[in-house]
Amino acid sequence: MELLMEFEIKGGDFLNAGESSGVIKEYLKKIGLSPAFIRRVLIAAYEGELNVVAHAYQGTIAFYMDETKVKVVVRDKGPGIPDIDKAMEEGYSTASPEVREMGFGAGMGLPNMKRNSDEMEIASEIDKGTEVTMMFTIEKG
Amino acid sequence: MLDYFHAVYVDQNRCNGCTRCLRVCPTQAMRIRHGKANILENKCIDCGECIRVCPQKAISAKIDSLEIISSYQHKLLVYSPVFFGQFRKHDNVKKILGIFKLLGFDDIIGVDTGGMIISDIIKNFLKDRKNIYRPYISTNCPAVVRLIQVKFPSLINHLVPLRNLMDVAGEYLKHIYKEKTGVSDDEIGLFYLSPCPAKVVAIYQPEAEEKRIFNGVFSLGDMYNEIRRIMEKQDFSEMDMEEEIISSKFALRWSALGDVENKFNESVTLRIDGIQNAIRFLERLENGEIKDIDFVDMYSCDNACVGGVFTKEDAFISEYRIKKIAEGLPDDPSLTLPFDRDEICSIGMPLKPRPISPLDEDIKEALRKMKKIEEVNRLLPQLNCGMCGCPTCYDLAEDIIIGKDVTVYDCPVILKERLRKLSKDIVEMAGHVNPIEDDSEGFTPI
Repeated sequence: MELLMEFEIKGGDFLNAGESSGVIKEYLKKIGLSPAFIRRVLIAAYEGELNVVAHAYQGTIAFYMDETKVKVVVRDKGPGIPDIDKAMEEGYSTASPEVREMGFGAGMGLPNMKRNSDEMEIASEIDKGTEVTMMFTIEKG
Repeated sequence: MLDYFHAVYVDQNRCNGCTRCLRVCPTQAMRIRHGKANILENKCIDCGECIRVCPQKAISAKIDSLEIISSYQHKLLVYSPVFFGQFRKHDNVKKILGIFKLLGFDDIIGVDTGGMIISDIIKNFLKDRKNIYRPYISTNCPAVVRLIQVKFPSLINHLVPLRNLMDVAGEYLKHIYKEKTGVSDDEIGLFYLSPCPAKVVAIYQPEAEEKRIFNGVFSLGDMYNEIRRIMEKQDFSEMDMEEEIISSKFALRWSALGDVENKFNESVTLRIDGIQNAIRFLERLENGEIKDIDFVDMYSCDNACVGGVFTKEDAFISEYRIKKIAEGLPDDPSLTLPFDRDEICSIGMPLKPRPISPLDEDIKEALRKMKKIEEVNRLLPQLNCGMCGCPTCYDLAEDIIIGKDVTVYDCPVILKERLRKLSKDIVEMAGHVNPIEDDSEGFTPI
């Protein structure tokens, strides 16, 4: 599958979080994929981007595509995920109560990415970083 | 493809290709070709921003003339209350309604009456947590409805699945008139007095109705002229021609100013006006960034309908006058309806998206074209100056690849670069002396 776009993500830059997902969205709209499909990719990519901003120092989001599939890979240099199964649980969050009270860190990031993609793989190494690969199969018709 | 009706059109004789419209069009629907503006039918949402800025007055909207009412035996008018804001003596609304009667209309109500009928239904709809596509966006502004259909098709479920105020008011007026007089549908001509071209389109080609509700539509600006002319000629001060207005403080402010917060304050409600503000919000909504909002009353024009393209008066002054009129209206009078409220508020059929056609039906081919577009786009100067007749460099790249009648040499920057290179080559080539030439006179390059 061909790499079509790659963007840098800066850890802690909440202000610009979501911009790359927006560019990917415009691309998929031009290709003419269904609104429902685009929405799935968009939500997953956005959550991926936000995860890097919230937890890592820096990262990239890469967008691949051919006529049957879309692949989004989010890589970061960061603390890594100690327990991936736990992180996948809905509502599990490492955010402090204060942050949660402000409406952030609801623990829905990874579950949301999983739910919206057709396949998802996570590779993570403590104190090194995390790589999340999400695959989306393009529905025909 | 369906034929989309558009109210906005360009008078090719007046257009001088100045590119003003190109720059303001929010959906990139304008192209200048052969020195004239052309509208891409599948992208235009009839917001009328181009009408506002055209210095040549070459862009206008299709509209009916007042004479058409004579072909109907019974003539009914629904007016936008924005009309009241156009007059300095705005406290004289009853008189203005009287003049409508003088023009031949048998019965008249404002769009605000529609607001009185539907507001509780919307309120309950928002309270029902089974309705999950939040925030819901009101369908009152047809340009917003089209913007979503064309540019944000994935948000179609966010539109409130109910009629807009205009259609509710129209149905209501028809119902009560028939009840009162016993006449049948085909004897009635129902007309709308519109502040904007978007509503003209909504009348000729309603998005969620199987058939048209209104028989014709007039421009608020034309009607302003008509009534001013009559006012100049006749003295009305002594005439007994006052008409009752069926409205409330809230309904009047909602229908003219998009002022909704008081009524729906049990739900989190916003008012968004201005097409660029609307687009920014919808982008965020599409990205999943908007949370905890229940309802957005969204308008394409700045200041909502008082800022309509057909209005004469400054929108802020008009807004002030409407607020003054609202002060004199009852808070929330009960409106007895001789029929089922839900029935006249329900849409005839669900709203459908109308996304701009993809680059190619075949995904592989679309990807190939996309790549080519980006290749061409990288050559372009990214000045987005509009001199090639496209709104942005990217649009030019796209038009080239999808086979429109344009090339990279339509870009003046590229063309000039190419000419400069060419002239250098020519000088160089001319300076080269062939062995058979006598070069004793020499050659000095320019």
